Amino acid sequence: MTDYLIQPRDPLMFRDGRPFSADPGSLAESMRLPYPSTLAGALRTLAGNATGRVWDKELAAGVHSLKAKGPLPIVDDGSGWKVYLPAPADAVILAETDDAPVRLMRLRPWKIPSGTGCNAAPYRTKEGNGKQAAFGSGCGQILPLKVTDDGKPQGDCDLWSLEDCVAWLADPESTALPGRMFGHAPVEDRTHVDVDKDFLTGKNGMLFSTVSVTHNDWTHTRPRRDKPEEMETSPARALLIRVEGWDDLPDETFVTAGGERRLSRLSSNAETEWPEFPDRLRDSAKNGIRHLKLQLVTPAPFAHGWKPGWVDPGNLKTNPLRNEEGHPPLPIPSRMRLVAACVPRRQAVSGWSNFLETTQEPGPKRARYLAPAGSVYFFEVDDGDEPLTEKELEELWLASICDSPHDRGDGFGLVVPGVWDYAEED
Amino acid sequence: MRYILAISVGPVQDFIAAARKTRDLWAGSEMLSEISRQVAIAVGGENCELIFPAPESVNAPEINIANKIVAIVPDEKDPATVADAARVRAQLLLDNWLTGVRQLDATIRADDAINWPTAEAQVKDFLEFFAAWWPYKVDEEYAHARDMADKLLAGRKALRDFMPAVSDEGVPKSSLDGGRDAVIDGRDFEKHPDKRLALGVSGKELLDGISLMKRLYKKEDLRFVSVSRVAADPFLRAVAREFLLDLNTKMDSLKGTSFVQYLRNTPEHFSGFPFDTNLLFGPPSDAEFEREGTGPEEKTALEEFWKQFEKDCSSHGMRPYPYVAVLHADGDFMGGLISKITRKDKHREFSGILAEFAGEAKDIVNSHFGSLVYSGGDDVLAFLPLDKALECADKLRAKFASLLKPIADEVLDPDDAKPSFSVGIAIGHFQAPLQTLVEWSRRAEKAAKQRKDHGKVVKNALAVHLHTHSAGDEYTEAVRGWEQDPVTSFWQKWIGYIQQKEISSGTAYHLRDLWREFEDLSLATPAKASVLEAEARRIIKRKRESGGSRAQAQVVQDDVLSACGSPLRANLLNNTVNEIIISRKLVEGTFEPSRNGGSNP
Repeated sequence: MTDYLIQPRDPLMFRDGRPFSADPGSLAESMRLPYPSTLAGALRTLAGNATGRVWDKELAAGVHSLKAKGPLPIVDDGSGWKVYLPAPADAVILAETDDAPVRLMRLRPWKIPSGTGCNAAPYRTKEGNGKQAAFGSGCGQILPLKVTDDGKPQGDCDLWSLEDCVAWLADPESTALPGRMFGHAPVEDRTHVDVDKDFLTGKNGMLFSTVSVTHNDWTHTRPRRDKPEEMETSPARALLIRVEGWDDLPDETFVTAGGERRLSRLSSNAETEWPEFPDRLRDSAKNGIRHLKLQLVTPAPFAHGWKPGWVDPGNLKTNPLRNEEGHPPLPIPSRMRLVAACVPRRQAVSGWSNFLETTQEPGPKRARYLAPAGSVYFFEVDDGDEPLTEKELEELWLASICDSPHDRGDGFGLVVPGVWDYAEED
Repeated sequence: MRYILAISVGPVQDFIAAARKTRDLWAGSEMLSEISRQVAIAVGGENCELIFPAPESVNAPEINIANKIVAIVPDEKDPATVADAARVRAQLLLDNWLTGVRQLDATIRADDAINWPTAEAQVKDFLEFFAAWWPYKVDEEYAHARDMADKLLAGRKALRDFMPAVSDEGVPKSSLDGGRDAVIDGRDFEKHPDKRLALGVSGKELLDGISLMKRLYKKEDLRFVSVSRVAADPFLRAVAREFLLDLNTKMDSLKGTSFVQYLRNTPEHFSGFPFDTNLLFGPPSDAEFEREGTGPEEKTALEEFWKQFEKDCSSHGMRPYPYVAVLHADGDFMGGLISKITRKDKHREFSGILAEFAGEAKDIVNSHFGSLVYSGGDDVLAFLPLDKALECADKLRAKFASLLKPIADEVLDPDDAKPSFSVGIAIGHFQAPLQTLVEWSRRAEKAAKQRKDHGKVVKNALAVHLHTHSAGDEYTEAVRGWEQDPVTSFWQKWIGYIQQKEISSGTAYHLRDLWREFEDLSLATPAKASVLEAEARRIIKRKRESGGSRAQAQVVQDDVLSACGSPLRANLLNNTVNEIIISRKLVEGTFEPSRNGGSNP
């Protein structure tokens, strides 16, 4: 098991599945954070190349014993590299208004009064391409979250420091604003011209644009664009990734990640440690907990859409054995019930495979929808059952809760656990 | 027991923004508006009393319906059943649109080119539908119930439920939505380009079921014109009548080619030149000829046209300018106003006012030779020619203010923030990707909404962003509050001075250098400000172009400096400099009508 620091040297481009060609006026955009599979794939390519063997089906399957965790964004705002996590979706930072400063609204599961109601959040239990729908019967039991402030969300709060996230997870009541947070890494637009391969000259009118994510190598402090009298910090940024099951990666090299063969420096990381289960969370579970929430720190594809497949479609109880045959059970305690969820709009992942499962030919993978990083799932242990222990909480720390073992090996669906309380009733 | 039922439908931004053509953008907004209309009709049909949208706008097809519906559910009805009926009706509309595509497919005999099972499944999973309800007994509880229904709806929307993707291995994704499989591939029609064109798909394009449905939405109704047509409008309005007639004739002879589209059913203000105008900005590239499979004769005809057009432009001393304005506007402090409305009759009156504004906004955009993408509630998105964009923004703001004033005066307390209207205008090259142009206009609107005064967010502003073709994501920004009457008191002045050569192109850049030199220095002392002011005066005087009048020079200096505050402030100097830089661009896109009479197409 080795932790690696990925420090992008170039602006990186992580595109979605849209086909792109250098036609006039076309635009390739990048996501702000790469999907785990993108970086896991980059590392597997590096691992495979390092073997010196020809890329065949056997090697392609072999490198899958390299399992990745992450990426976790790391940021240096002048005080050294620190782990940051995507902001929890149940924490809404609201912009300043005439009569209220910047503030934080905690969204909590809400036992709504009788007579009130909202429509159910459906999910589909049929896996595969889902063309025949089979809807879960438990969807009506999912509670809404309580919105207590109708202010407008403030921008640039996408990444919270690990300490702030832990404080948020360990205290079910706090509405303290995080001390350290940043927006995602900025993007850079470039205009390109398609080049005639025979003459190596630009083709007339063939302009196209790309948008890439830029990661500073060092921390800049400069006047704000909109308010030059104020200074703003633009921190250095990198990504942290943990590799298991493969020991032969070089300690220090360059790697291409994402589109356009852009380079990043890969180094076995000595400066930043993979975060350990924090004492503050350990303390919060000392007397056992009945209300557990799981916050995604990397996006997760689930078998039933927004709902994990290991949550029973009928009674919403958790079942770690609802898992693909022959694989170890998930680190999910079996006596929990899904109560509510806070899931922003889905993302989509696909990609290219050199050996598609159906044809063994190269081709596009099927698209899958992901619950975004930051999504929060709220679980409850019913009165008759034992409360959750410190150890059970620890096992969930930065563990993957994806239904598919393949996705878990790519680093999708990593979670951090926390505690929660119901919203006050009216 | 009655209920307030609040419904929200989507997706909004992602769906609308998935656009390659301006028609896609327009169709996306129209379709969403029609889905919302069906929800409103369904709710009304269940004996519920519509609060929002106003019932009269539901029956007026020309008015867009916003994606939030609020109604009172009577005692005898179950709100869950009403909400479900509304969802079913919205889905039915989507299914009907797809059936329309299917019929077209059968008519043109596209021969299995469309993957129907996937398209159908995509349409089934498309709609986002959220509903929440809150009971109340007596009218006095109405305001509380409405507020709580809104909050509960927001709490329900915290879970944006979604189904597993409908997707197969080995299938390429849609060009417009990377999360959906393509159901049609333009490359499959190499031998039948006529069928491909009938389905609205370009040569290499891949479309998913939703995007295909959008592409074919009211295909025969070309009310929405392309960005290039809007960009060319100032030129077409200014050229001599004979030139325009000649141009019309030539374009008519080329309309069979892939590069000239005849625009049927265009609105009145575009009917004088009902053609797509890409060709007026330059001949197609070899790669474009190749992509469209253009034959040698056609290619020669197009090239000949372009050569002659170039000559004509030179002899007339004007040529189309390739920049366009995208206007995005939205009401400010509307939440505060709504929360102060405690009676349902007032709430309905408010909905009626917004519906009236939506209708008026359309007329205002049309009268400024613009192309309206969306106008619903307090939201407007439109493409405008450079010479009319500022004036249009000013008219929209004035109309919004006059319509909202009576109800605001009635329900708000003196200390409450009054509703106002923030407008963002992004000026960009017409060939910039459409999604980018729209995103830029959103960014400008956001800048207007973030305007602060003495540390307080006051909104109520006009923000203009200029994106030049070569600057990537960098832009020039100018923001001023509407209370300063920015269009008349500043923008039109700068434009006038530039046209009269009272301000040269170098003035703004030298003033900008001055600002850069001084931006980090404290300007708190009057002495420093007066030095800066004297230097600014010198720059304006020295940089006056030879054609300017000496008598005017003092007026120009005074106007520029008064726009920078007294004592002079660095941020206002920067803003004024940016206004002048952007004004230069606007002047380049503005043409004096030809002496032979502007043709007003």
